Amino acid sequence: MTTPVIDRDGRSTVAAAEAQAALASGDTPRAQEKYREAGALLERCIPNHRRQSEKHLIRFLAATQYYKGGLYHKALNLCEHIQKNLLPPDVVSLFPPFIRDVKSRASADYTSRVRKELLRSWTSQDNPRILGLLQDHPYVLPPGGVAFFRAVICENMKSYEAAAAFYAEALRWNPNDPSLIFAAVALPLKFPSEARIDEAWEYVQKLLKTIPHAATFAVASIVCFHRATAAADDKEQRRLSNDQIRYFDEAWAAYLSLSKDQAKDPELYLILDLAFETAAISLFRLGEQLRAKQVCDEAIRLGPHSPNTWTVRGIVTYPSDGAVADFQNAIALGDDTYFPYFYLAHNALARSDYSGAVQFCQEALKTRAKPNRRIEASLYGWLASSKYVLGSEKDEVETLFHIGRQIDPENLDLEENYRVFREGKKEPRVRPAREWGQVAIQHALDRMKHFPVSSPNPKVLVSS
Amino acid sequence: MVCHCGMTGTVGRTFPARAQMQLRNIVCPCMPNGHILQLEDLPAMHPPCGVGLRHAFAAQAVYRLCIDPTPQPLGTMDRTVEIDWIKRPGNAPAVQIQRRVGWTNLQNHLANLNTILVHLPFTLNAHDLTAHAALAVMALVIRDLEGAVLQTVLQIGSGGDYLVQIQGGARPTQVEGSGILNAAISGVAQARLHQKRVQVLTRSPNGFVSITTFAHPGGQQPGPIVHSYMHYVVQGPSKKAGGKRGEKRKRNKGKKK
Repeated sequence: MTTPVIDRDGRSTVAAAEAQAALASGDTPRAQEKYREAGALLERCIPNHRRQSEKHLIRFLAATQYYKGGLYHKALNLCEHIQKNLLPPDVVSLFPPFIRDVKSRASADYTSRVRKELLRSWTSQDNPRILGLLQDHPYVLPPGGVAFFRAVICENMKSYEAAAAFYAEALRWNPNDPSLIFAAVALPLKFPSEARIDEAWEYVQKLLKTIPHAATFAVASIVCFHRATAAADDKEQRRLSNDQIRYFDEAWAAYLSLSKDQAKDPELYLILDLAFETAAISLFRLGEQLRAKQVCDEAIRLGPHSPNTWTVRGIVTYPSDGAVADFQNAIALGDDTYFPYFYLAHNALARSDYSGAVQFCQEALKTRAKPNRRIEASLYGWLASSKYVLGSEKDEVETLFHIGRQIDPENLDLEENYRVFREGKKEPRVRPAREWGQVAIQHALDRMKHFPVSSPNPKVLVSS
Repeated sequence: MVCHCGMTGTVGRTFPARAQMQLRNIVCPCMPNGHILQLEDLPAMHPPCGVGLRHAFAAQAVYRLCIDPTPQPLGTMDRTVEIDWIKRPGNAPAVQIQRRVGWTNLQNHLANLNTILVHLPFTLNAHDLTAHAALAVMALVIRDLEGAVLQTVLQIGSGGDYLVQIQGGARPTQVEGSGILNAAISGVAQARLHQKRVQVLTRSPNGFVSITTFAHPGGQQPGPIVHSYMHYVVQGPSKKAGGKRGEKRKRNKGKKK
């Protein structure tokens, strides 16, 4: 054997192995610490060797450990004490490229150079390039930042299990940053409105395993609501709705165990509010009106200033005086959807308050979010009938009916009121709307569509 | 009588015939359902550096054996490795044997193994992942077949990866391990074997070369298999006498005389 044995007790080898394992699991501080230990152990054994070639070889090996640990200045200092011509012949050719790389990494602009490259690759959505850069330069970002970057890249690559694991890792490094949790649930919240319910479900299940938090349970319950809504039959819908309620209960229990500061987070409140709404509407759909109301009561206690919760309680308790009061409250608090007006219009019509009905129908038709086809047509029908009773011109009434019939030619209530109008009777029929359940579901779906979800963006990490 | 694998024994161990084994309730490790070389046992197998080996390479081995390139059914805890073995002293033809590499209790020794497995393809490049996995397989196989214990990692330019002590052997020798992810093209593994053989023998008169291919054409089996070469290589006397180096040596000897 002509090969000198350097690390006889194996301590440096074990330290380097631990560093390697830490790096593989994204724990860069530990990797750095262990590589530093491995390098120091090697350096310590230099005096035990007599031959200059061995001494220089050990320096080279120690410098390699420091390099692997991102300790580039330390590696460079050591390299400056290595005489290339004294290295063993097999190794000598490895030294020049190594020292070039060390010098490059020890330079003042190294971090900003790599970060710029990361940014460029992010802009061009070159996911493999970003992963490669993070593998080659694992110390240019803090460990939580690397984990977050990897999580987002994994999301882009649809590797949801890995994304969930990396989000958990990022959270481990930044336990007081709730925005990471909201970044993690952003996609499963967004997917259903893009008709990607299965993908949302796949992802949220992985997130539940790695980040069992009120927000992830809440999003799981919301995704279950979508799955139940899209279910092929009643049995399946019931099963999925029950799953939804189970996740909702877990979300609520997890929320109650949060610290006051965490519980106050406005983003968490938004997600939880949506979970409350979808849970109440699912219970309503399951015929469990009392439980649905209880859920709404809880939501109102949690956020009494949110118009949405009042509207939802109105929806699940309508028709009742309490529901009317809830809708009025929602409007007073600034509900800008058509829902409270739609119900109040129906209520006014049922009480033969035609001017009230006209006012609420007009308000409903004016709102920012357009009602769905069936609801919009009903509103035109009610408006037409009420105006006819209040003495409007027949032509105007005819036009309103015409608009409604064009929007939804199959609207039976509208057709019936049109027939009554054509017969010259001023007694519009006001039946309980056929699709109260559908209206309730529409409310939740509309809310989802306009829910403020922004995709996580790690750009901020590299541009800071 | 010999065991069905064709071997009569390995270093320090003799395997009786199958009937005798059944009678004595002994399980031959080369039997398909025989014992499993567990990755968690690396420290016990290689006391000087096994802890490091397990830390650094065991998870990678599980990843390559169980997840990628050939995903195994959920709950799989071991994988068969077909081995082409040239045992010491290296003058016999290769024998084909099987071993099973397992990770049954590895999670007790590697915290968050499942998370590491999810992280690995993103935190390590594919080449390093394969190389590390191959080193773990090499460490298990060389201990089992040759009774060899890895002593320490060898530095760059040494020829091999590890210094290895054979039971009863006077001097340690080298072992070089290498991995191939997918050997769809025939000859890749043989070419690597040749390359590593030359590499080891540049600095050592003998040594081991281990090449593990994680997706190797399965032959009779339906899917790809894991295949490993474990060859004891030695500078043969014919080669010493022949070739440029041999001739030079002869000339020098003559001059001295």
